[in-house]
Amino acid sequence: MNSTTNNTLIDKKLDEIINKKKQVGKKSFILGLTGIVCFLLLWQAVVSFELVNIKYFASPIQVIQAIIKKFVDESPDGSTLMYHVLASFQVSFTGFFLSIIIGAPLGLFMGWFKPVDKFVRPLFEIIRPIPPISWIPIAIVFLGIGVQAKAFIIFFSGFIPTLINSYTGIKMTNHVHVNVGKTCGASNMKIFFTIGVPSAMPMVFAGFKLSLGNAWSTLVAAEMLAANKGLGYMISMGRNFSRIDLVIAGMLIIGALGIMLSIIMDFIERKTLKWRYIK
Amino acid sequence: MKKRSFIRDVSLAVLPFFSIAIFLSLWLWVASGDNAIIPTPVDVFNRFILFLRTPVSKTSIQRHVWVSMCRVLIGMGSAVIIGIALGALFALIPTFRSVFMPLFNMFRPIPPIAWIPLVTVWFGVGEFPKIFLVVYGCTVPITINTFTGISMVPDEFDYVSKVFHAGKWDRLRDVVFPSAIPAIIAGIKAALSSAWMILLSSEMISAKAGLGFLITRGSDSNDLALSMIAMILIGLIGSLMSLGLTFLERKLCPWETELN
Repeated sequence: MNSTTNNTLIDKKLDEIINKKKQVGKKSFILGLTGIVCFLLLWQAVVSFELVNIKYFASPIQVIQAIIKKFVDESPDGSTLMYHVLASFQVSFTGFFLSIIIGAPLGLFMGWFKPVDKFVRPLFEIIRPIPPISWIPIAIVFLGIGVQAKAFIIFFSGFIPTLINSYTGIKMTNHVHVNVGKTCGASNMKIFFTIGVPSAMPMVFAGFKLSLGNAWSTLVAAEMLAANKGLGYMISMGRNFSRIDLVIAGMLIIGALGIMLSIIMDFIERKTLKWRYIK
Repeated sequence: MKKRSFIRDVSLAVLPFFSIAIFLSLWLWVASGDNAIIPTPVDVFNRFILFLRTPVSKTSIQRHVWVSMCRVLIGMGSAVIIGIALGALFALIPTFRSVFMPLFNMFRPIPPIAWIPLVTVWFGVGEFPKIFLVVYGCTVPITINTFTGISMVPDEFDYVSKVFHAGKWDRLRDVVFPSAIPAIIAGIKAALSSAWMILLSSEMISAKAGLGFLITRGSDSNDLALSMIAMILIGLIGSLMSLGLTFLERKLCPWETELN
């Protein structure tokens, strides 16, 4: 369970470094902008001058056009962009919420109550190393290829990091606080709810973020294998109809929405865990 | 008092077996009956024995495992080299970071799996695109962790090495990298699970051999036991690999090992 903890700490540190870097300021910003602009120009030039087979490439301008057009155009996969996005959101949120509703309490209980830990852990250790995607055949057999099957796959991909983080979080509860609770005569349950759970919350939230990221990237796989709508479906259809502009457009939209989701998650964390950010 | 704790100990020792027993009986209960849709554990075991003797798609079980292992190992190996190099460049050369970090961050949020269609259009369905995807997916976490690990080196270390007149190269080799190793290994661990994930999905979409291929094959030919064998094998290999990494971590940086 160590590596996840490490990674969470590393993420925190990364944020700090990035914030520090923000102050370094304009010069590096301009350099970065130059890098991106050069990359886009190079990409455009490579396609415009047909240095590669343009059947297999699309220029940035074509991609942007494809995105704009896709808002109203239903070809080639039969749905507009918003419809795909909504379908993907529906699937990923269903799986994600299931995974946090089950994963977080289970992890907290496992970390606090030994019998629960002993009981759940063997099963968890069996499930943990199996990549979520490999559940697809079983999910299809039980649940068909609808929303449920995909949500099931996403549930697995989000469940594991949530549980591990909640577990680690509550294991890191400060013993001094627990002892204070005991001295004041609180019962084990009371200590669990008033000391253990709140102090584990930052780690739990880190788990939510990981699991949201996993959910979003697994979604694409689930949709590419079995779906009739959604962004992953749009990409694979784009490939089948050799609409490379649409494929790249889909990838960019997935990336952008992923960033958006993690920003929203940060915002929620800041709101709900206010006490952590008061200095 | 003592007696009660004895009962508690015994029940704690029994609980793990109890949960596995419940799991197995649930599986049996779902899988037995007239119109059962999934195979029982016994079926899976029998299928495994059969598989040892008769190859699937003209490829023996060892070969399937070997093919997937090779893809993961080659991909991971390249990703470790590229990731550490890139992370070190980001951390040590500010100009390089300013120019390329935004580009890197632009690619980062796109899940590797979303690259599969494009990569198959570019490179076909052979060996290279699969390894390429694994490399792409694994490089990201390793680069980030190397970058952060190196940036996290405490300033005091730097001062001490300056006091002892260490050269730039000495500082890198003896101070910076050793203190970054735990972070790098954490990155490699994270990369390992995503490596299997990516490989599986690219094998499930297009492959002629490998464990991901077995999963789709089982699902397509109504042979779920085969899919389950592949799942179990992947799970086993994955946990063995991550155990290996933990072992490596202990060897490389014994000072990081927690005292349990």
